[in-house]
Amino acid sequence: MEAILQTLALLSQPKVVGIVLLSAVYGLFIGSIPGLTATMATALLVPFTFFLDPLSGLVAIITMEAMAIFAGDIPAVLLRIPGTPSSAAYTEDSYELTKQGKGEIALGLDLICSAIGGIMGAVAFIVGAPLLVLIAMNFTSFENFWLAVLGLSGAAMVSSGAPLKGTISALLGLFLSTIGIDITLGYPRFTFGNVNLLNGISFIPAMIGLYGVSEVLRGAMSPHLEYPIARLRAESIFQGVYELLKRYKTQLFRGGLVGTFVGALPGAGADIAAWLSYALARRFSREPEKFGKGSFEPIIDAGTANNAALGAAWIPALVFGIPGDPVTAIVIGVLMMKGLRPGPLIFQEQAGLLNGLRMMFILANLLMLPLGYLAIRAGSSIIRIPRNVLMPIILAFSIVGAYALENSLFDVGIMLMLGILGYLMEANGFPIAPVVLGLVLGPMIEQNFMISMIKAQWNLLAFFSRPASLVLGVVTLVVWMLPVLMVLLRRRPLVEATPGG
Amino acid sequence: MASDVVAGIICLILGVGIYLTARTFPTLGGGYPGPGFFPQILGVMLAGAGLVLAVQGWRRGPGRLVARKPLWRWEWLKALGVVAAVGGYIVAAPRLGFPLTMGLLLVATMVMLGVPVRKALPVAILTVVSMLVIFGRILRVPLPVGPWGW
Repeated sequence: MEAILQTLALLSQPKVVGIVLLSAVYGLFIGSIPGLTATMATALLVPFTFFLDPLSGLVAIITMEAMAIFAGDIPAVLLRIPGTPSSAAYTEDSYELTKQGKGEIALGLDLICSAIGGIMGAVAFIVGAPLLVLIAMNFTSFENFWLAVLGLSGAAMVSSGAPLKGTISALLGLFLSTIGIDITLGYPRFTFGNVNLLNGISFIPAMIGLYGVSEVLRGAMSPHLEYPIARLRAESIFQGVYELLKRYKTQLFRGGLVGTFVGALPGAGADIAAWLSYALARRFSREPEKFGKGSFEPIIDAGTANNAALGAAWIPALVFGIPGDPVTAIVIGVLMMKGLRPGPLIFQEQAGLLNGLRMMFILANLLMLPLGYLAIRAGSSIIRIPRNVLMPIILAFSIVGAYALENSLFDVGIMLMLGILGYLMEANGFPIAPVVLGLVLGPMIEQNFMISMIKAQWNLLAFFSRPASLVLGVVTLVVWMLPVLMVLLRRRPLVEATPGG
Repeated sequence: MASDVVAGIICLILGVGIYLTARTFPTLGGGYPGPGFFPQILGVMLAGAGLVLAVQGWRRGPGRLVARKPLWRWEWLKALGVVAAVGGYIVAAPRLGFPLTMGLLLVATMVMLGVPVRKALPVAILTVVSMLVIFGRILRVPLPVGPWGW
């Protein structure tokens, strides 16, 4: 009880309250604008968090992300364009409801489901993380190596695009992580004599490039579109929502569970949670024919799942140092900048910080209700902000954000390079998330591998000698084999079908 | 845009390049691999994945280009304009100072994207002033200063 009161006192400091409100407004704003993602918003927020204490910085990210993922539903209802990719799964249904004159109920439902989903993810984080800490405490470099490889492999396999392209993205991220002084001999790798590269590719400028600059490049290349924005009666947002939730309580609960599970998997964030939840909702629905034509079910299922994934993604990030999604990859970067190393020990050494995060996950989702309501009312005005004005402003903040951490124009150059890389990759079907995860997990994989090998005197079988590392190793190998198995399974019916004509 | 064949070949060349460069890195004592070990594995894997991608793309034929949207030359120029603007900022900011360089960047990119100058100018001034307040004053980031002291 005393710990709760202490945490509340910490979070009710005027500075923290101000930061929470500002980041909430920022999240709602970015989320409402089609094309701008929560990850981009996080990357642009990090330069500010650099100047804050760890709790305030992380609280800002938690609040902003929850708001942005909800706000992504607003343009889906008003424009038929998802604000963030996490809302894409049920955009069609949302807009169909608008056409049927039920747009306000869709938004009210989105808001309540987002908050409930967010709280379910938060509960998973509060309950699940300490349990996993007990397991993680017994892990050595062998298990940590496999865990990082498994996390990255999972990210490569499940991210959008083909597994092969995901793998290439992950390898590129790993390669970028090797640039700079190496850990075994202090040898400068791939620096080509440039002293600015000795400390490696700066993570935050890289993130701003991959998510901010690439978005500006995409925005500059896409033709200017005028969208017809639907009009809503904002006063009736919550009318009938309670009845719908009562009727579809199974969907609500299932969405939360699916979101939590997918969120906790490395590399699979809110977007995949929403899509998987949508697929399940359709599979088990009594009225699957209504999907895509204005059904409330996918909104409840997937709208709950995407917000539930957010809190859950912090579990592997903080317990094992393996990010659940690109945003938690940035969180790990922020923690490292603050001299905090994610892992089981952080739960003991930073109990106050952890308590603050747990409470903030709940508070942010409660705060979403009034602020989300205001955002819905202001929705159409936010969407009307012209993209050709907004993109240069995002570019300006990207430049200064990349510069601010080290006061280095070289970092602005890194940002630009990775922005171009991110744009070209995405345009050709290569997912970005595995690059980010590769960049974060690269040092962890290499260090644990080298430490393990030196311990085992280069006996590779040592990676399978401990029970836990054996299990993790086998699971990793199975994940690697999955694409091959899937190709074989897909071919078999064809072979059988051929003789029969 | 580019096909999987082109993307695969780029990955293949990059992978081989990484492998060959990493081979020149020193090794640990006793013949054990050192700083080059991990990059060498990455290089081989990247080259292999690139080769598979190129072969897959080749088998599918040229009809399967990844980005199929028609891209007009003007749009490419706009993207190049954004890249040039950031490049220009890196070169000009230490010489002209933050406010002027950033103001020019904002006006130039907005006008390029079709915003009229009379609208772009006040937006640029407002953005630069708010950035000076947020980053320069509140966060105390030493933004580049021009020869005239600002």
